[in-house]
Amino acid sequence: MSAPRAVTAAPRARATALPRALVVAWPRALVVAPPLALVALGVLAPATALVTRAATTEAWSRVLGDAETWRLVAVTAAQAAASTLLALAIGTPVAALLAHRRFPGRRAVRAAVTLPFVLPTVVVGAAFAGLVPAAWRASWTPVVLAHAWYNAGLVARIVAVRWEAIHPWIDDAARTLGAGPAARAASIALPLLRPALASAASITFVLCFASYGVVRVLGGPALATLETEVAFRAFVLGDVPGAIVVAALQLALLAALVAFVAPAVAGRRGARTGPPRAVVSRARAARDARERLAVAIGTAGAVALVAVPLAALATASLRVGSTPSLAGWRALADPQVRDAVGVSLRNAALAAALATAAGLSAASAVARARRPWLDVVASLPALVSAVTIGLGLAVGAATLPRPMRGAWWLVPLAHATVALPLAVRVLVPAARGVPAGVRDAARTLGASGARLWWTVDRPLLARATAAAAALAACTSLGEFGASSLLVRRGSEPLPLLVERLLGRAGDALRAQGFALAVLLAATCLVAILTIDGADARGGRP
Amino acid sequence: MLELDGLAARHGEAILFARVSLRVAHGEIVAITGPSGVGKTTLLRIVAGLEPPHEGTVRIDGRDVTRVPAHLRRVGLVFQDDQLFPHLTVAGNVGYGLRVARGAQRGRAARGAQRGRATRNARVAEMLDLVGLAHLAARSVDRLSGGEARRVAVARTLAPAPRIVLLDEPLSGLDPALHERLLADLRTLLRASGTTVLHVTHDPAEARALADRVVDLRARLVEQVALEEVLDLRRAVLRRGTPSDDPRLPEDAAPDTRHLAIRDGATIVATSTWVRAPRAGADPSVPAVQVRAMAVAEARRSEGLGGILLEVGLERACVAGARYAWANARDTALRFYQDHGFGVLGDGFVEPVTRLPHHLVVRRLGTDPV
Repeated sequence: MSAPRAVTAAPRARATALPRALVVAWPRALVVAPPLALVALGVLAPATALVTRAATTEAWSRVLGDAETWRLVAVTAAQAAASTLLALAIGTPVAALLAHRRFPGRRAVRAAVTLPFVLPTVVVGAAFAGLVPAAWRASWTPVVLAHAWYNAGLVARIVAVRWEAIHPWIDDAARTLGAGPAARAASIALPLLRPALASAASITFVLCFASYGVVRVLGGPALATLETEVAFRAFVLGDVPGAIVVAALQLALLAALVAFVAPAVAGRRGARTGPPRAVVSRARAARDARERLAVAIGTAGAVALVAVPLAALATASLRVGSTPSLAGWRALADPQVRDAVGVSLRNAALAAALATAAGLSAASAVARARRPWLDVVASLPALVSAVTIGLGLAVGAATLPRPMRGAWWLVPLAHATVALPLAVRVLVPAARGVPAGVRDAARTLGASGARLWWTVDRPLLARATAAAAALAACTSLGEFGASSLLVRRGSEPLPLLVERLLGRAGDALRAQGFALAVLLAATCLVAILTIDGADARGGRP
Repeated sequence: MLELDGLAARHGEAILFARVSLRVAHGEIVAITGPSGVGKTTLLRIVAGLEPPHEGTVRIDGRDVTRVPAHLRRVGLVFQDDQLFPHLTVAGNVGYGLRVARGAQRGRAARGAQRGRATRNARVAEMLDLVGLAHLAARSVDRLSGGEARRVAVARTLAPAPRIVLLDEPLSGLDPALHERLLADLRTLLRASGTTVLHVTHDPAEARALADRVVDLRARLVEQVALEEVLDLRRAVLRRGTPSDDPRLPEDAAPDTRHLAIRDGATIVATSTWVRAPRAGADPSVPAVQVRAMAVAEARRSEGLGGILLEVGLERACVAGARYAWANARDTALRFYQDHGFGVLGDGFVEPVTRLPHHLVVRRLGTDPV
């Protein structure tokens, strides 16, 4: 109750103690409600439904006793490991370039290398389907290439942030002590970057392990991972208990990885070192011809790396079979495309609103009310694969009264759940960046509770909120895994349509699919440019 | 022996320093002074091989090392903010140079890894003993005090026995008591090791306490030139828009008049003329100098060259026995003189030749009253 608060308040405030307590105390307790509700609805309720309703001991022993399951585990882990190594090999040199050199177009290069990461997985798959020779289709090579391609930018960004925080004179100190380039890489750069490399590697591994859209588009029915197996069992075989066991196995493996393997790889120091402090970039211009050449090659390489698959995608959309044609683009006037755009936009708007609202309250709770556990809770959906979330919601919805099953709000809810960890990652640092002094000053001027939030926090968080909303909308537009398990005929969003068109035999349908993928990519491009624009104008704390 | 020959450095287009030539004998300690921003740290980084000079050469023991990369030079540098390796312990930091250096690796291969490690550990222990930190060998470097960290940085640099040791403000940022103690320790340590040392500091007292010889980096920019060389710049800068077109001053002919200048390559980019004369109405027996014809090339105004000329000229005048310096400053230059310790005397007047408003500005030199 509000009594203790009123007693501790200054005597002069006693007259107004009750209304103030109402204004101040209630929002503080309620602030955690939206993210908890979203996580509960999107993850916990479905999980409960799965465990209580569908998982039987028979299913557990049947699936876990099957050698095929364990072969799938090995294949899934192997392709994820290969993808991760390749992403690290590509992303680390790009990080070195971004962290250490100032050159014209540096910001553009940084935005460009991050671009693949925000592209819908279906688009990534489509780009590599347009790129690789037909003989490679339905093999793991294009899948690993595509995984490495869209995670390399993430690696570059994570590692570059850490690298920028390391004073370049540390390396100079090693030079004056006689360490050559190889010795410095091994004894200075590698140990200091280890936490960043480990976290980039574990995120990439988790994403590749649970990758769905890329595998579906590039592998079709020929390639299988644990994630596609969940969908296959649930959808094609109708073996929901078996699907649940596979999903649970995957979740357990990923949770073990994040909880035990990643910290071990990061090293003792990685665990102890807090988040990198804000640093002034010490990147400098190239000094001599050799350095200028290295920057030129690095820049050209990074840009080409991003551009080639996208160019392949664009080219593929302008061809039917092997003849140049605009038929694919003309076919976008098709009513089923118009319907899909409408569905996707509606989903994106709803998901962005839900995820941003939940993310905002989670961020203020984590940053101010000292509820760090909420950060972990809000990040839970990141660990649960999209297909699992979709499966959970589908099974959970089946327990609802008949008219509510397959309801229109299930897909946006799933999307918001998937997007919540991203929104939280953007909003928590921003909320932490709101100076306590400013809030105190507003308090001494008489603002409190909701008014304090509206007049101080809201304007200061406006850019981060916009970025979070754009990110969530982007996630929803490209979301494939959860949608594929929840969508009913007639309300198909864009990524599903792309996958269906690309999976068909006809060249004309494939061209239409490629054109639609270009459209989807362009939409996400606009979204990320908005985010990066906000960053550049000081939106990042 | 370390020889610097005609070293110059720039920050973008601006001159940081130029024509720095210096010879440091084996075992000698030379201090380089100058206020912050004149390129002391850059000079050390050039000697260490971390940055290329704009022009000039660096020779060590007679060999030109200007193009030799830093890790092959065997030149140790104690960084101003230590730059200890955060992922290594105190002993790990001190032993780093012994572990990675090429020479050390060859030695290890020859003697066997086990013995290499034993000698290394012995050397680390010896260095830690020297700086009085033997009890901290296993400690993580982020749990050291400022003074301890500085000692580790010194020990780390000295451990591989570099041919030359460079100290970049080795005592900055320490409280006075610690400053004194570390200064004494450093003096003993460097004398005992007998290495050649280049020591950079903004503090003249510290320089005198530690070094055999003190060199003012800024003074190296300024040279004395003949009258003919400064006339072009005077004509370009000073006589613009005034009735007279003659850049000569009546005092140019006097035997005591000196022309100071800063060059960029062959071109003179700043100049001033120093005339031995008392100001009007003052006691003619008190020696004094008048600053005249201060001119800085239009394109180089932002580099502070005028200030360097003035400070170096005042120092030389002081050494030559002048008790005060004065100038007739144009109104536009008033602020410049005031920023360099000059005071305005009287009400100002219109100069008869140029017909521009002027003020008499005066600064005393040394401690005597004007």
